[in-house]
Amino acid sequence: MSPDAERELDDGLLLRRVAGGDEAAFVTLYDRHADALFGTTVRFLRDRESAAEVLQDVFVAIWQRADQYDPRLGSAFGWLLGIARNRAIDRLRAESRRPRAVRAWTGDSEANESVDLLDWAGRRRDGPAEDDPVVEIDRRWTRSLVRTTLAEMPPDERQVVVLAYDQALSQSEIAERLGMPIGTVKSRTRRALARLRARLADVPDLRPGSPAGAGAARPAERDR
Amino acid sequence: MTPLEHADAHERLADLALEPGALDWLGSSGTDPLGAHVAACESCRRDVDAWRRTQARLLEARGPVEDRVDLADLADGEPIPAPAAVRDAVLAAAHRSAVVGRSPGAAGGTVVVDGTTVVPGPVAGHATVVRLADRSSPSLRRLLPLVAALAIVAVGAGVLVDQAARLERAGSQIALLEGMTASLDRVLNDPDHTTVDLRTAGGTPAGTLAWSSHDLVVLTTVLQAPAVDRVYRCWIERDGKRSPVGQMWFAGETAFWSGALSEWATISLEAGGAFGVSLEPVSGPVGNPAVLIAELPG
Repeated sequence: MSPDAERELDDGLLLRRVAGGDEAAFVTLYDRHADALFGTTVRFLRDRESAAEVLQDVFVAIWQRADQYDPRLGSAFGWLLGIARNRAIDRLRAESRRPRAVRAWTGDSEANESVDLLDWAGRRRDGPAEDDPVVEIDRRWTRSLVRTTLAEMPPDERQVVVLAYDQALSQSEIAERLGMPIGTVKSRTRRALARLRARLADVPDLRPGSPAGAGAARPAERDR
Repeated sequence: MTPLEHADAHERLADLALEPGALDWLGSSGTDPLGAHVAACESCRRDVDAWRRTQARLLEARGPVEDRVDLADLADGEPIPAPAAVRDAVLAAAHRSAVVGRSPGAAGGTVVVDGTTVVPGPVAGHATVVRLADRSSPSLRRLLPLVAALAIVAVGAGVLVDQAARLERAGSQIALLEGMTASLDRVLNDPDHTTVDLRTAGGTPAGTLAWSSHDLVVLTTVLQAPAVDRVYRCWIERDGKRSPVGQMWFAGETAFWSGALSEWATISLEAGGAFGVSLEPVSGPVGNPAVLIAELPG
């Protein structure tokens, strides 16, 4: 298969090819998702070096176990995200038990938030509460993914989705505010939401029974 | 239901999704044609679910109401591209294992045991560090120097012998050991890890099974490498039913299996039963008696 044709394949087909040992499919899958997984993991861990190690772990795991992906249980990207999230949490837990040093990457307003909240082992089995560290970790991962997706979005798409969500403006109000045809606003918002949906709809959920993860929990459960 | 109706419904759902919360207005009664269509159309229901999950995640990312963050505040960053070195390392590891056959846990790195033995791995810039943690089990501790020695042998063979086949074999052994030590690293760094002894059918201690919440490592030195048409298969047996885990790999006299539970486990290691290893044909029916067995905590 030519590189161009390979690029057209959806993630599920690529994973099937990877499961058969297809290195070209693996390269395509890596190039398609490595930046998103790395960006999310860096923002989650707030440490580039650790995120790089997690990313390497994730893709080695994908290479070795692509045959275990089941499309009936969620999207391929959701499966990749689940692996990355689990590895990132493992790393965060390990880091939280080591002597701290000032992190090189502190470009986040939450950079000094204690990672001790990761000391959640055992408690997660007791079920989530709003102040449960599991909920906080889940939110932190989702927030890291949203940040990454918004950062990768063209500014004009980012602008309309921010206006819609932050200021609760309707599409016509956004069109009026920006002085542009409503059709343009709609098409930009659609593209922006399609990007967000591709990333967020299958985010694995750590919390059993969460409404946000009602449909997306299955990949995470399987990933466990 | 005609294709046009479905396409129209799909478009209208995408329009509703443009307004946060608008999908909540969707009804299912006959007076709401879109709602009635969605109620009868599985594809559209999945569509609605996906939009709702997306919107719920966006709200979740903003935080609880009393501490809500604007999306604009989350949208002030730049893309963070993955380092090129990681791409090189990952593709090299994949290529290496493609050449020598799939291996469990083939990650690049460095092996450090007892803080004294350092074996450089083939992937520069990435370190997989295995420390002989005080909390590791005595049986596991006994096996770690052996692992390090095997890694040295493998690297030495790679340096001193320039024949391609031997280099390839050395490379495959390094990859196998790297993967196992990476898993072992994660297990030992997890204070909640568990170790149990593997025993022969006669009850003699024969190795170790160790796992954390995400990784499992099996190590033994009592198995002989099987004939070409045989493999040692690992499994978990509960209520008389065996669930496959994987096949043992060999590096020198050490046989092992390692991997991330997160990718394969649909069964718990904490629910009793037994972990076993049996010699089975490469293909065909399996179910031979265990040559190694470990009781799992219930």
